[in-house]
Amino acid sequence: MNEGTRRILEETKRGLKPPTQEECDRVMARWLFGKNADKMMRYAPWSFALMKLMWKKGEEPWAN
Amino acid sequence: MKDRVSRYERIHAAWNHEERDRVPVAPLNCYISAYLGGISIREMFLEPEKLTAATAKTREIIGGGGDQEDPNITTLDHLSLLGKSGWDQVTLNWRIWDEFPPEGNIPSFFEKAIIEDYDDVMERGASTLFFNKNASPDVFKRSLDDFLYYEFEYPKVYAAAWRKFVEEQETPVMMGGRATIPFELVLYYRGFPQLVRDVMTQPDKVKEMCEWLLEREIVNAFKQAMIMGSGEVPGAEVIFFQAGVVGPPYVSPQVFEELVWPTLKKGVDMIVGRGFKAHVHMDGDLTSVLHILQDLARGLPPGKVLLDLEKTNMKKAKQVLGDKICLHGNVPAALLCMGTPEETDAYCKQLIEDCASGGGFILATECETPWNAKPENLKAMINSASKYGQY
Repeated sequence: MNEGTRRILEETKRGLKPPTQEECDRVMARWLFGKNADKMMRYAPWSFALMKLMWKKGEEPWAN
Repeated sequence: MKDRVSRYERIHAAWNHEERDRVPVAPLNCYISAYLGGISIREMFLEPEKLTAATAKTREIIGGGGDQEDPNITTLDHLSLLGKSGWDQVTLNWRIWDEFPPEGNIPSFFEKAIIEDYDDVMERGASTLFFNKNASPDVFKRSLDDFLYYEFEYPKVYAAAWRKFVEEQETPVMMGGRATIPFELVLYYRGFPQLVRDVMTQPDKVKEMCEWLLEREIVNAFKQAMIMGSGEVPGAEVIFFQAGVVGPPYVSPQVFEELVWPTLKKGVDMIVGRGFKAHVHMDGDLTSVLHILQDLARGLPPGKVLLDLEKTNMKKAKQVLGDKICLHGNVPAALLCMGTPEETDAYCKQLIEDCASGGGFILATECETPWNAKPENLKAMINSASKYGQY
């Protein structure tokens, strides 16, 4: 790696503001669970019980 | 040779509208790297060391290769838990064959309406699509361990292979992360006929859905880019923000402006705002919306936005965007498959004449290099940059 390449990389690294793991998790939860995201995150790991919210009314496995 | 311009410096100079030693050349090689490199599609998807070795072999075959390489992040996106960027085998109907034609094919998408109700998805989230009746039941045949491996472990294995490739080949990667322009994501999940109807009957809802999809799409790309080594691996700081059919002729200039542009611009702002670079890849002929695209880098520091064009008139693009946005394109796929080296050479010469002045141009393929492009034509394309692109 030459000096110029190293310099560009250093400058790039200084400018990066990547999301934190917490931020990534929050964004992912919003995408996965919509308005239920906060609830799913708050009760993790027990939020598996909230899976019920994932089925649409009338299409639940227990509906038939 | 200590002071030789590196490929990364050459690419960096183009992004910054600087005339370095010559015009960079970078065919966007995807499946052709596996094909010429002698591996199957299955191996391309599952064995990153084989993919990087095949890519290195392909570079030799086509005369040394370009100034950067596509690390084929689509293969990563396809295999994880919920897929990424619309490359999603879980809820969408993507078929992945093991071999190239005639035994198999490159991945093909069979669209159907997965999102039935925009409001419901926005309210209860995308995980509900898992349980959509239209989702392929094949998903449930795959082992959960397999999904978890490709979601959490495989990206690190993949990144390590590409880091090694970059060091050995002294060639930057074209991108570190990948995101899809939201309007196209809606298209994948809604299907073309339904989306066309929605554009006419409920445009505000389409717009709202695009907004809703954007954040996860971009943040996920940041995460990928960090795993790929942003700030350490040349090129990994680039986010490939792409779409195939979100501009003319697939949608009208008016629809583009009202429904595509807002989240396209917002996404680019998010990418650059976090210190990454935006490689905006858009198919179609965008000549009629260049006046809109000239605002793509508005309010952003220089050298952070690149526009990768397919059928757009590059001479016109250079006139309208040339001093603001780095241009990338657009040697025709048909020419690379059906033409001769002489015709390819002549086409590249003209493209360089039209776009290279003042820097800000990377000679590249339109969309991606077809898997069955003639190696001698790619060789002619790569040679043309040294032949006609000296600054």
